[in-house]
Amino acid sequence: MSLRRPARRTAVATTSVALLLPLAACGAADGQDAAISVENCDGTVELDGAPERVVMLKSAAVPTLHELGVLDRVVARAGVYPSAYYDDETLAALEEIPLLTDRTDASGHLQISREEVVAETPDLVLGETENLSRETLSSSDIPVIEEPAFCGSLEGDASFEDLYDQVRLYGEVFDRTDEADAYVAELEERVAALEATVPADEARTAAVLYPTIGGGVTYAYGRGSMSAPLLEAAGLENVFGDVADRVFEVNAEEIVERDPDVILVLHSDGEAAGVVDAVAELPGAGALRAVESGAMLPLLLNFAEPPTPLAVDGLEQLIAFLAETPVDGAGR
Amino acid sequence: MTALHAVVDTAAPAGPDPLGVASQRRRAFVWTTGLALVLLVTLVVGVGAGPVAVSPADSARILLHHLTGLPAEVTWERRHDAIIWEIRAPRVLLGAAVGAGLAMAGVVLQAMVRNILADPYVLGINSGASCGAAGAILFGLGAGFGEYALQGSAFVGALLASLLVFLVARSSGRITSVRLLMAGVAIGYALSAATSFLIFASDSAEGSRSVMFWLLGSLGLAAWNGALAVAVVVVAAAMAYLVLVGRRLDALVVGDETALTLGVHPERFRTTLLVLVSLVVGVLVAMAGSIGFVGLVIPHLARRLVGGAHRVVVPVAALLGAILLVWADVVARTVLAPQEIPIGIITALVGAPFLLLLVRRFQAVPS
Repeated sequence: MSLRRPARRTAVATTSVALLLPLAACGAADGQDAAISVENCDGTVELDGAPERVVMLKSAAVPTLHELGVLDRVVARAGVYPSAYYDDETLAALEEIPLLTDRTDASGHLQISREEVVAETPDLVLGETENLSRETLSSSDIPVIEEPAFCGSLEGDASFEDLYDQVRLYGEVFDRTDEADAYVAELEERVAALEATVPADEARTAAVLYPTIGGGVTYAYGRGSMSAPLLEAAGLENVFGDVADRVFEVNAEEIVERDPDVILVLHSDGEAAGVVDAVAELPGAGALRAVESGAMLPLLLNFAEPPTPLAVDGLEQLIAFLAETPVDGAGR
Repeated sequence: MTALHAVVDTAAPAGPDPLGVASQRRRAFVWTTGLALVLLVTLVVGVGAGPVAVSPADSARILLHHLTGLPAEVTWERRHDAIIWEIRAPRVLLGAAVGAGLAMAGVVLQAMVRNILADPYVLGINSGASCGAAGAILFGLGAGFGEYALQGSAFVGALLASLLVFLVARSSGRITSVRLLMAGVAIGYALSAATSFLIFASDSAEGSRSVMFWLLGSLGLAAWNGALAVAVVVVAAAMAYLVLVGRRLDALVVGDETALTLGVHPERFRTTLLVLVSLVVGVLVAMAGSIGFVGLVIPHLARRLVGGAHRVVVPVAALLGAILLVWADVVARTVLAPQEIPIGIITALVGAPFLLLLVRRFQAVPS
């Protein structure tokens, strides 16, 4: 199986930061009021200038905003922000931001009323929810930026380029393009350094699963997921690499049939042991090489999905895990 | 509303068997034996069919190896052994138990209330079981039942829902079919809303996802464990009891006064049956979620095949229900593989047209 580097996609690409009209009445002096136009999720997002009052509904953008030095522009946040994602400095900055709610529904999606978000008078919302879409917020003149992986605008196989594109997008939105470019260069270096540590004879197969604790649907991740380039960079072959989708439901039979050597078990919150047990307790899972050898790595979702700088941290964790895990099943 | 006994076949041929008893017995024997064979084939095919291709020869060898110890030498891949024996075999067995149990529950409820539209789903019993089970998953209710908390809570929920439906339906004296159905629908809605509220109020997104999946109905959680054994034993015991009391069920269908003259205390017998149905539905809903239409459609089919005598209708309905649900599960897990369709979608697709046919038939017959 080969995981090709995809052709660059147009949907993600940021198009322009344009000084469209002189806003004479505002007395703009330093470019902060320059109108900004970017492409995001198959649409154009128009901003009057670099946002100063941001409401964040998902955690994906936190590391990038912190790195660009604009996390203090977030005036409110909602959703789940597991502390394991962040270093102490980022966590301290995050905790300064008021949390509106962390309630999620059965599918793990945020539950928040539109009123609460609008009451913060944001000039940008990061992340969509089922009731707070780009369309519903546009009626309140609030622009929305979403991770392309979550709105389905990423086409073809996922790659680290998607991650870098999104960092550059935030750089343009917040008028921090130089900082974004420097951050991308740093991330590229980290990825290259990590790839260099992978043994040349690494030949194990892997699956990336998201189980339901207590029984329910198990999801697997295919080539459209950021987890695919992670596996590739770590020298692993995705047993679901023949599936182009980002994520899809999978039954126990398929997992047993494909019998991966290593399983990355994704979870959104809670105890890591719970999700590992959920995989081990799937019918027939006792016959899996990964279960037999204990080669199951619990990983918080954002370390593998969507394409954000956290995926580089995820790659680091994966490579460290593989180095510690004996190659029991490889080549069998 | 058409009374249940209207569909009982009472035609009696002339000749040496003027009441047609021998003929009906023959017919019952032929259908029961034939359906038992069909179920056997269904179980084997159900184990052999699935999203992953395992050769029929290997499937048969694996089954025989685990059931009889022969062949002793393992010549097949271990992963195929796991797929056939650990995934599909318990799943098919659970499907048969759930189908049989729900069909029997439908037969009993239709006899109890003398209404052809009665089934665990319509009378709100499924909703009660679902509510109890959701409480167990999300809030740890039923901890007193130990490792069978889910089944215990579902049983208590089903029992409370049944009692509530019957109490509301008879609050003004006699129970009428229309009042009972309306009470069932109303309480079913209320309990569904309560279940949704529990899901919404829960702090556990994982638990909520689990409940949502399970509410749609699936046999995907079947495994060789105590819960499966409980389900099979409860269904088998219920069938044995119902065959034994088949004549009393016949008397109940004719009417309370007639039942009394035949030595059957209708209220007491109904209470016993209510507890039995609640137990069966509670245990099965806890294992496979809420699956509709089986309890509604299968009893009609069984009566059409073998007449209205419950000693025969009960096993025939059980066999038909088992066959239907195993096949429904085969479709559910193969048609969009590797994704699985909730089995309730398949049973509804099969059951709804049948119900429409039933509706058309009864338009022509004055009630």
